Amino acid sequence: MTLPDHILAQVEEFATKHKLSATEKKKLIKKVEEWLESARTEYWEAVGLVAAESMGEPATQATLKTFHFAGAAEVSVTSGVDRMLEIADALRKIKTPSMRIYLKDPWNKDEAKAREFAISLQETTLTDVAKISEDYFAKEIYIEFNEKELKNRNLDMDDIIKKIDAKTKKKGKKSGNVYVISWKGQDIPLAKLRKIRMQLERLHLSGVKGIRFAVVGKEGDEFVVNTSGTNLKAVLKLKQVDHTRTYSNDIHEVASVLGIEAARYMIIEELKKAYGDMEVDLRHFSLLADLLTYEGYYEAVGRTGIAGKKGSVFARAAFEETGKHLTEAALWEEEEHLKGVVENLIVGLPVKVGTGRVKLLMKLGD
Amino acid sequence: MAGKRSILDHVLVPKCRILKEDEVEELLKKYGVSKDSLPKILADDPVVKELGAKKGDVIEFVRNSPISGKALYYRVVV
Repeated sequence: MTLPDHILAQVEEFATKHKLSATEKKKLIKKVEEWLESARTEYWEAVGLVAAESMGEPATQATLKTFHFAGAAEVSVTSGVDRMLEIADALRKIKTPSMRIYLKDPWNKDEAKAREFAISLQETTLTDVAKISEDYFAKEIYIEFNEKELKNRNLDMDDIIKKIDAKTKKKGKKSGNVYVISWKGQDIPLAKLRKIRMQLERLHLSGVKGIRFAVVGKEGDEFVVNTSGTNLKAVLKLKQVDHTRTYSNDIHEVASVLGIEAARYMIIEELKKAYGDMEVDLRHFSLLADLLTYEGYYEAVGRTGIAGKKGSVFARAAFEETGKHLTEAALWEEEEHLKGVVENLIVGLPVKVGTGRVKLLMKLGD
Repeated sequence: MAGKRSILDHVLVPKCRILKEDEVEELLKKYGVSKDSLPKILADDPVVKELGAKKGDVIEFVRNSPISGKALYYRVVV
């Protein structure tokens, strides 16, 4: 067995620090190899079961505390049991999608610049800066701008009005901070008026679609932007953004933008975060992450995912929807090979893990 | 925008390459498995597109693992 690079580097460092001779170093390496070999998992060890228990037990102890706010400059993120469930069930719509955006020089050193960038990210629609009302009798739509909000978001009223005109293909009248679009005397169905109003409400003014909120935080000695709501694909293209480190906690999104291997990595990172200070060995997480991404896409553990794809009828029936699986197995003449754990437990045979897997052959004569 | 941005530069994406034919054979022989029992990666996965891999190719990933330093992982394009 050869030592992994990082352990070899540690041995090397130790050797130079204590001025070991070449033979002593050789001896040390041999010893470390022995230790490593003895720390290996035994053959046929039920690693999945160990992982399930190691992750399941702390989860039962975890409080159901959902949100945590660490100061004002934080975006709330689901944690604890709720988050664990989201990850294992591969939910498409997670409760608190969020991104951490790393910035390039000079934006990551200058707080004002970072803040300006964060504000420019926030998706702004017309309803964020104006109140829209309509008068169906007079066939008029009123847009009342909130000047304070406009100033906050660095937007200009005339620019917005241009966008509105482009949408409605009509010129309105501006009086003070109210913009009036009128169809007076025209033959226009009310349903269409209503539709136009709805379109105006969703009119995209600035920012990146999907990002509801963005704040500047600090990581180490650089400024980063935390967001609520995600759009990884669009954000990675922005020139201020460090496209090598920015990530999203929506694993499906990571899988579609950065690929399945990146998603696997995110599963581990997110599990680590969800477990917080409850110590669970990384090996268990990586086993689960490998399983969740085995098929090339991110799938759930439940009956629609991994558990539902098991080859054994009994294993599937033991999990959920017992009747359905047994009937279908009978209909399609499925065979049961009794290879897994559950099916052997059901029929009362030794489970084929650990020593149950070993067969002894007797050597006759000599 | 200065320079082309590739997702392969992202820290979450491990170093990867398409295995040559003889390397694939060696790999399958070493582990005693057939190609379809390798973990899979979809043909429309962004990494596959970036590498220009075709269906049936095997991609080698060099993962940075805190446990074993570097870990090799293989996925077959489906």
